[in-house]
Amino acid sequence: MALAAEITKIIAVADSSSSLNNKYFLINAVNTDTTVNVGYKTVQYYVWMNVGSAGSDPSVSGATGVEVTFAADASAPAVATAVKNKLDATTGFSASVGVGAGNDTTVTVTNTNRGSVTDASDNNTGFTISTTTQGTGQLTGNIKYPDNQILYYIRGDHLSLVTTYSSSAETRTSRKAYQAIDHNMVNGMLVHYYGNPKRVTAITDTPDVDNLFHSAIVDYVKKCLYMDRAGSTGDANRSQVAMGMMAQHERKFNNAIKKYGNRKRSKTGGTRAIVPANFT
Amino acid sequence: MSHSIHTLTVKQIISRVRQVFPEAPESYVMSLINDAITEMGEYSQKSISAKIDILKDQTAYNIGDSATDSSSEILGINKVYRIDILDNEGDYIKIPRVLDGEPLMFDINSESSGIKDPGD
Repeated sequence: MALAAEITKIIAVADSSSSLNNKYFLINAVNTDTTVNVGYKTVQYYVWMNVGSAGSDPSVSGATGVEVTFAADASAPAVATAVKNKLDATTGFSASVGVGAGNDTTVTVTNTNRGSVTDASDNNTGFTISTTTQGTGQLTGNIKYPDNQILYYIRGDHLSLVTTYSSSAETRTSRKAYQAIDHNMVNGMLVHYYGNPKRVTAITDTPDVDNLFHSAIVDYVKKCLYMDRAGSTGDANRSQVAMGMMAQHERKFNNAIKKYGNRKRSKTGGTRAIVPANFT
Repeated sequence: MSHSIHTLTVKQIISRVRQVFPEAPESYVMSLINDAITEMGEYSQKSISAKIDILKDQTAYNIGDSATDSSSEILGINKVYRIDILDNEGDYIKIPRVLDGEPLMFDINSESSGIKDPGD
């Protein structure tokens, strides 16, 4: 089961002689943050009502204000639509309002990013606010020393994580010391790997490999075409020449990719290190 | 100092091939180009990092051809060479690899689900 984004339901009420002016409720988003490794942070918003442009920002400490404006004595659907429009335009949320009588006072707010946040709550608006889907996934882990407490292994096409850590400080025997991680983490694992280059789909594409190897692709294609020619021609001499050319191009490709491709250059090839001999 | 590097597009590769094989069909050559790219991928040319969500009580994570990262992008893993895990301060810390991959206890979500050690 994948991690979930929080979904909040807000049922708005009508204004009565500017009764909603300066009232607010709180809601939390998971926003992207390029300054942290996980890439996300939680942001709290206070959504305040400015009725007939007579309001003043309540300036809630530690939270970001979202101003919703509407006229005095606005109906509940009008208030809901105003709230929806503002939240939909706010980073971290998408919002919609129900259709039809009875539903048009309900605003459904979905967090853009998954992750656990504090549930939205009303301060003094009188709106009915509930969480219909609980966001899941912590933005930081519980484990202080992953290097000491988590191991990974690979079997077939699965990568497995096991840990000695227990969030509830459960007592484990050494036989059962290694178990699955017991909490959800958004972007909890950073995997580094050598990957398949993307395939080309149009003649304007540039192959997704280093430019040093682009000419080797020509050799590969010619190798295959010469092999096709050798196999399909009825002329033995022509077939022999094609096989010779095929071997030439295959050698060039192999040299470029297999023999020299992984060395001599800094920008291609795998991780390299010098490990001094241990004479002790 | 700025300089440009020489690259080849698919169109240019096809053009070079057609110097010798003028009848070579474009779609066939393109599929051969993709074969070449796939074969090149076996030789550690492209180093990639991706973030994956960790799910509570799940041991095994798919790294096969259909595997995606937390942004639903196809991973295309050939060889994993390092794993980092988020610590309690939001930093990614490298974890060691167990080569034999034979922990005594598997959980129900592992790829060999159902194998559990009897109670102590």
